[in-house]
Amino acid sequence: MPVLLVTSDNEQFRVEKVVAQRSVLIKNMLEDVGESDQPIPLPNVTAPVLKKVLEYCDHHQTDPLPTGDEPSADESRKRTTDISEWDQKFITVDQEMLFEIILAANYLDIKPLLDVGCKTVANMIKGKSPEEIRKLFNIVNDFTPEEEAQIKKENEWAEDR
Amino acid sequence: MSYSSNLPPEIQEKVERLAECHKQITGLESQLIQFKKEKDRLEEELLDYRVDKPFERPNTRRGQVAVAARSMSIQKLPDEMLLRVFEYFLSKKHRLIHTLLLVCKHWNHMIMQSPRLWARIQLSPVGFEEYMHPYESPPQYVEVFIQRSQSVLLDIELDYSSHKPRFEYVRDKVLDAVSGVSTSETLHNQILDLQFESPEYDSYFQYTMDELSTLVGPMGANMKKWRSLHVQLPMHYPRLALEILQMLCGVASNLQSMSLSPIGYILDPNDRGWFNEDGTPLLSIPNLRSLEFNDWKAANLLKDIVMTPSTLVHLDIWYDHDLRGLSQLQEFTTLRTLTLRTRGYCEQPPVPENENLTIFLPELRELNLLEDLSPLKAVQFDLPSLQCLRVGRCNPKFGLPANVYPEYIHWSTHHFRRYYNTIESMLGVVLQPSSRVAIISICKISQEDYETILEVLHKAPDLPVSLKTVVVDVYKGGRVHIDVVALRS
Repeated sequence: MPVLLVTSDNEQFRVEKVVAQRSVLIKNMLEDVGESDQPIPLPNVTAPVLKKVLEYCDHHQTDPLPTGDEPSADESRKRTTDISEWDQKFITVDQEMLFEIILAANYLDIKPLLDVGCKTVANMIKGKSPEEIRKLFNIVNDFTPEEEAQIKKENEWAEDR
Repeated sequence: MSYSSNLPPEIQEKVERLAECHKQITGLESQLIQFKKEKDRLEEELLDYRVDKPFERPNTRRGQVAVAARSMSIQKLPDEMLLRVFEYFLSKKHRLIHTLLLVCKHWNHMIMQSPRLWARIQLSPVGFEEYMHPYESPPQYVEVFIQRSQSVLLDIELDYSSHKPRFEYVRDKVLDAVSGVSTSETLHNQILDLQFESPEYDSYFQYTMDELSTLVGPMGANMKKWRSLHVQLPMHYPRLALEILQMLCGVASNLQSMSLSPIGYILDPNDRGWFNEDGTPLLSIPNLRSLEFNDWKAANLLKDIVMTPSTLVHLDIWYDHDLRGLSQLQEFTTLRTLTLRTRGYCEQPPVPENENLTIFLPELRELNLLEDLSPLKAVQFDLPSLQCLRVGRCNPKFGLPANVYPEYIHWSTHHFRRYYNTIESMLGVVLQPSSRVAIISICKISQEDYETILEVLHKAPDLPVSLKTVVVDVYKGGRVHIDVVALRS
């Protein structure tokens, strides 16, 4: 049964329930309203972003859903920034769209997509100096030279390796 | 605009004409706005059909959207998401946190105020050649992280896999140098008998061991702060491996997760090594929930390490081809995920120790079977709560154990191997009428094997009612959803 989603800019998307339910937020909303033709408003997502998000959900519609168990203690250890081939192609977008996808994945509660977005940003930072990171994301260096020197001094342990 | 009421007729006529002009302009302006709106809407709708599509969408009508998209930057991500990015960035090398501290005040403040980001310690001794600092004061790295993580429990990774004691380090260097000029066995043996002195290496070695000692704390005081522990021991130096293992001694009351590289080779049956004489382990872990044990002798040590089987929820363990010790799994009744790796056997595999063994795990949700599955054929599984079965890294002649009825099956294959003979038997097990399977997902299969799958599915006399989807990732062929409804009809 299809589901009707309405974006913040008032565009409508009709998608299969199994696709829409990759979002835990939508899944819960559908469970709350039961069998209904009521459109589901998504006031925090615009049409171009939802289009991308639904592309992801469609491709991953048969993946097992997260169990909802608490994250195990070793989850952080096993955390890698590896991204599957399809996901890499999917997330090859400009910076603005990347951050919009991350926000949308967080709002819609699609953890695997949130992870793909965050891993992509992490991979963009990899191997870069603070100055290169600032340049990449257009961040202003608001430290005084004295403050910068102080931070380096406080973190001398990092120079060990 | 207003004009005098006593104007001459020719002037009054001009005034009226001016009013008419104003009225016409207002009307046209209104129409122009309508036309502009319609134009923008149509441009937007037809954008995807344009051959000269501009890089950015027109922002006239969708001003709000376009402006919002243009102004979105990393600085506008909520802190929670930025921290998630940082955690991924730091996953391989946590010491890089100092790079993030230097980017800007906002990042610096956020990181310093996030104890969770500091609750990860990676100790991996750098090679002696790279070790440039004279050893004068105790190591600060561990102390800084313990302090800045505040009350958050620590995730610890110890990688000593390439660490060497001084004697072996210096001897290996000398042997390398000498073997370039002489292959004399006598000379080789003489070098092995030499005693090597190296105060510099001793200083470096002491430094690395003191780091570990700080992590443990006096009388194991810091061990209550450990949440997870991952240990890689030196593979070729059993004495050093044992020394490191014995430093991990005390009560880790909050330790929930542990993974160990092989330790069976250093635990001599006569010298208990990591265990007291009465068999109790030096490291006490009363609340262990997750254990990954990459050792073929794991089964012998499992009971000694997991003191309270009823706490264990996740287990990843190796068994030898005879499945010795597999029956112990019965005690872990709270297991929710189980990964079984069975050592491959080149020749005819021996009969497993416990033929017709039944494994009943009432809570198990996920079963992962890796490597050689053939010995598991002799095991009867009783897994009433099983949802997900993953099979991978198997040889092309594997077979699934009987009586495993998951709702989701994921099979990872190698596209360069052919599974022609396996597909029929595997799908035969999966597609029994009593099966509960809803989704079958097969990854990276070759085009030829994909066609075999289709053939087998078409020939299947009775597909289970529960089956909804078969998804196949064909190597270089994309993802295919096989229409189960069409197959049934």
